Amino acid sequence: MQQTEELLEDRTLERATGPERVRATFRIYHPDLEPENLTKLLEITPSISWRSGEDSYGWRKRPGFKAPSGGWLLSSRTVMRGNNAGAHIDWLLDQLAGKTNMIKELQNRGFMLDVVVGWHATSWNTTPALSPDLMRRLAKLNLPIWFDVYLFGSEEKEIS
Amino acid sequence: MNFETQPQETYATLRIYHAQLEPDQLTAVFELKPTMAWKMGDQIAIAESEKYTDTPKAVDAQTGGWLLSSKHSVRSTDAMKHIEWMADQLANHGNSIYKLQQAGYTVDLVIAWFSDSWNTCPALTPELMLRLANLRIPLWFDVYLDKPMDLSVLS
Repeated sequence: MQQTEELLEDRTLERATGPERVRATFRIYHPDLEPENLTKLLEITPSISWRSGEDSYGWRKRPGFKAPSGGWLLSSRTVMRGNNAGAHIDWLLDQLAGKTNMIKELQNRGFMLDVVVGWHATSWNTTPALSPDLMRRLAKLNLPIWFDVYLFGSEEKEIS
Repeated sequence: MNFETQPQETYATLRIYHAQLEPDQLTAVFELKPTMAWKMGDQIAIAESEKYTDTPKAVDAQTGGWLLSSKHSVRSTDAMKHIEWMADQLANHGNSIYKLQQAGYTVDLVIAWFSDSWNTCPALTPELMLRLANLRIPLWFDVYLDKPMDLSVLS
């Protein structure tokens, strides 16, 4: 009985501090980025990509807004269900397994690469977490990570 | 990353918990003076909060605790500087941490992150993640859309 109460308490805490929506996105940017070249190099179909100067680019595709840089994004948003950020990051890293050398080569050529975790919460207190195993996988791929935390449904400026 | 996404205040706290935790033993293992430590059953203070005015000022600790915080050692709103400081303090203690975890101790690193922005962006470099992974310490960001408060006594 006590265990059940503790479990319920834990779940209540999880709901209170967890996200309403989460996604992980691997991003590559460069002014001279050619999407087809990256798709061929990485042997992965991106979720979305564009060249520098393209109109209506990115997720939002707003007419009249030209891309300041080329972009190539692979996101868990259309693949993963659930709001476990660790599972979204794991999925992303599974797609990138064995690509460390390509990632480092692109970084050496001046491409910007990172992983962004979009974290939308309605709590005033929210708690994105990383396990040692996830941190090791990200470090081995030489990828920085950041949590793009949005609270109370504000997503007008969402980056990833 | 623009200025609006930086926190107003941030600090890192290493937290170790166990019912049989003896603070002096951990202090000897790590050769570090904790910011705060207690045994199970000790009276520990609770942070005063404008939100929760009915919270008691002290409670009997449900478990033993040993906390090390960067709050008074690192003057920066760059969370990575706080985490680096912590990793420096714990360098060469990976085996001690592993032994504690194997013995059932909870060990983690909490990054308190206070921001008054709607959108806030805690980040980690690969180098820093590798240091934490080698120390086998899970990390979580305790993000508050609120003004800074002292969380160390809440843990």
